Amino acid sequence: MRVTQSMLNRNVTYWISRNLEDLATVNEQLSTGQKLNTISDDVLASGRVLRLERENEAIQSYVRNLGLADTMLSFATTSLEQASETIARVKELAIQAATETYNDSNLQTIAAGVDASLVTLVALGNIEYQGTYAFSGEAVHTASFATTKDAAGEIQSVAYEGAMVTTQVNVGPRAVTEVNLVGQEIFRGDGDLFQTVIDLREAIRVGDQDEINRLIGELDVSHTDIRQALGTLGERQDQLQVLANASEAFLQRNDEVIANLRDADVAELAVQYSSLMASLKVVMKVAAETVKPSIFDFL
Amino acid sequence: MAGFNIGVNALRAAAQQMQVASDNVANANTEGYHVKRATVTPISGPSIGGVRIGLGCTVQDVSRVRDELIEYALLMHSQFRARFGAEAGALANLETFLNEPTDAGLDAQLGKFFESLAELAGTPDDMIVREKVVWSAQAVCDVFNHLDAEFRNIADSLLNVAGLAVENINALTERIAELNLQIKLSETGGTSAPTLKDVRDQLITELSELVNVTVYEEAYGVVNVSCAGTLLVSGAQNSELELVTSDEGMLIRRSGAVGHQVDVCEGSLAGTLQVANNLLPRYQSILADLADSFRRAINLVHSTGLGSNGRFDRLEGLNLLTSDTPLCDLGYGVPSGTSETLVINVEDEATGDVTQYELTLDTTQAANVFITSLRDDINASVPHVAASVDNGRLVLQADDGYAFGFATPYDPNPAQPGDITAASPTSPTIMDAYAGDRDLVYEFSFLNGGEIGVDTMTVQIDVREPSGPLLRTLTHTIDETYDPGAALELENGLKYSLGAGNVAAADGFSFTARASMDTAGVLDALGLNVLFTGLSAASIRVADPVRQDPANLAIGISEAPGDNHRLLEMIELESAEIAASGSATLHDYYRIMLGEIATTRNTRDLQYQTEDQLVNDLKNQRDAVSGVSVDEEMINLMAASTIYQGALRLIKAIDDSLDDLATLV
Repeated sequence: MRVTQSMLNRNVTYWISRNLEDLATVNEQLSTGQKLNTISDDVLASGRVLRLERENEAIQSYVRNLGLADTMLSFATTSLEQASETIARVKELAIQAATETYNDSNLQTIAAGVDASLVTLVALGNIEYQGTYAFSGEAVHTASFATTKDAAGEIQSVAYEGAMVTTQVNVGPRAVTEVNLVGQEIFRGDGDLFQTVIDLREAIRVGDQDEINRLIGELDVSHTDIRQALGTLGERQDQLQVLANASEAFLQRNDEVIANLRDADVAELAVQYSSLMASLKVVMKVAAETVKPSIFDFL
Repeated sequence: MAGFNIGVNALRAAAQQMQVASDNVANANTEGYHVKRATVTPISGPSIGGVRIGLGCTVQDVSRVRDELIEYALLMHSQFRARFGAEAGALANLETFLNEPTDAGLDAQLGKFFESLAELAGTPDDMIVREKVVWSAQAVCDVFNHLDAEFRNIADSLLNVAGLAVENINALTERIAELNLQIKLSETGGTSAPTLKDVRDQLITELSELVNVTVYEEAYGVVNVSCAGTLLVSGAQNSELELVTSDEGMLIRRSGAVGHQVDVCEGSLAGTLQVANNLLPRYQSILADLADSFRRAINLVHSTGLGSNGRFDRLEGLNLLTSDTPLCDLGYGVPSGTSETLVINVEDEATGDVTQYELTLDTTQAANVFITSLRDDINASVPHVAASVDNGRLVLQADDGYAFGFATPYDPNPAQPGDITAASPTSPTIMDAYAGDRDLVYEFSFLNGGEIGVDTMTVQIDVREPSGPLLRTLTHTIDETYDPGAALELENGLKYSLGAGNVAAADGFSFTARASMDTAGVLDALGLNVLFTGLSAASIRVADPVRQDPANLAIGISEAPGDNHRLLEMIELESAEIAASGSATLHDYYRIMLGEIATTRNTRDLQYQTEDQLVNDLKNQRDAVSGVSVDEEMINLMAASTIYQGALRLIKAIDDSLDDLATLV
């Protein structure tokens, strides 16, 4: 086969160009620290990275919503625990008043104690977190319970002013949780807590022991409502925690997969770079050696 | 003296051989040059005394050294390489503008939009987060607009490239025809023209980089060149091509021959046409479909929602409907139908009472007829709301003390006068979102009378499709433990409550729960209470009312600050199959397009590299036959020089012999 200078020149140019292309690719990966700089670098890996990144964003929003729901539930739980304690206190006062050993003055004092507890219960029902009421459903800026007072400033009735519908947020794919509660369902479930306490105050005030005893039963019903709500909230918080842990684990796993798919292995690239450089040098040296000699050297 | 003639012939032949060798050396690096060889033949001499002695030699011809098979293969593969190179280059350009996988790409921006919606879900009335949602919505629009503009720029560039290619083709064929003429004149005169042929063949090679060509050798060194059966060069004549743009894209036609389309299938022009006519329009169409699917899906939910300010006193349509094209063909995705419905809620602000009015729509009407028909229907059928058309846009205005909307999918206060006949009647209320996928009628009837929350009563609820058969019957018992006004679960996400009051036996009420308040999505087409306006990727943008005031972001079905029912529906759209005619999610459809572009680019790159390697090898093979080896030429030069020197010695020897002979005389 005849070999001409043009062939040698062409081959040298071709292979130097190929080597430089490979070097440019490695150089780009080393510079960016990523092996996926365009989709065509690895179509399947790029698709997976995009999917996982969007999945991570969704999970992060779930985690954010889980945090929001958990905070609200914590506030609501604290409020209901205090309400439960207050109800227990009211019950104690009612049991005291139900005995016949107290005179009218004592009963008025007990009634005042019950009234103070009523005010506390209403305040607990209207608990607010960052400008939103926990027990008003989606009417988050409306105080959950409105009171009607007499001229002396004593609460005569309590009405639920919140919404019957709650605000829900996504905490997982097709999974939602509430970030507020319907106070009516908790404080006025099977029993009407506020009305019971109001009635109790009035019964103690007049020393109507039969009524007091009946209302203690009513109070127990309301207390059960609160305890059940507390139990439900506790279970829900546990579930949220499980979801939060799972979400964090998914995030971590996805991050690892994304890093594996996208991030360049610098050590491997450095070796590859050295190898390509060595190859390029060889090509150039061979080119210099083979292109230079000619018959002119010997003429 | 024959000896002198022989010497002169030898000198002449050697000089020509040296000239040929010199020419070869000079063109050692000339692209397309084929090594020339002088064909030297002996000159027969006269017969003297029965002996015939030759008269030396002569250069009979100078010809090119060529292997036609290699030349043909090189021509073919140069065409292939050019096509793949052009396609790969255009696709690389396209991929650069898509900017994936980065945070600035469409996939990430769509994700951020839905993420901002998810963030808003927890605090629906937070104006800062609402502002963030508006900005992320605009960012999605910006990416759509940017990509559309880049796609159009690429289309324009491809048109320019194709135009230049056609100009180049015409210039080349004209030059080839001229050279054909020169070659023919030369060869018919008995003189070969190898250099002219080299120049011409190099032009044919350049032509093959642009279009698929076939070369036919004719007499006297002339070649005819055709492209897909169309003669571009016939002897000394060339036919020009022209670039024509039509609805089908760019077409190449033979100039002056109406309808004579040239099927360019190889060369860089073919690559350009492939991208411009097939690939780019497909990607543009996918992008437009993505933008429209996104806009329509979000708007279908948004337009039937309410912003922070509740129902509307006035709404102005943002889209101009002046065309006489049927509404269903305008590109808004409105289905064709004559019994589509739009339900308008009208609220008496003094009492809070909401009344629903259902309008039947004919979307096959011309858009300008549809809008006036709708205006007339509203004015005739919907009390307290005045409709007008202002320069092709629908404007709705509520009377003082009234407001309207499209959000609540049922009559929230369904009891009509006479439904509850008892004294101090209870007031039923329907609440929460309806999750059913079809319209259902709920017919309540009280089996016994009494006071709500005091007496025990049974409520029977018949569920049926509108004007359809009974589907099921639900039975609820309401006793003295029921707190009037408390919510009771119905079904499909619905709740109802019964206010304090009385009912009589056989009293009842009914309401229709609607799966859609706007079955055809005409609110989107009208631009009423929408989040996005504009058609396709070119013009999609956030609607001005929402951009100016994020309170207008319609994410609930009531004005409760924590109501996010429509927002949750919007969030679900990220994973819903709303693109590609309902067969893929927005992300998946976009990624399919990305994958297609990248895979096609990679395939073309690979094909280009293969062809490039092949062309390189073929060029080497050609050089092995036709290339100039300077060393070889130097040896040829030395050989010819030696002959030249020998011939000079010969002449001198003969001259000396003659001188000697002369001294004897």
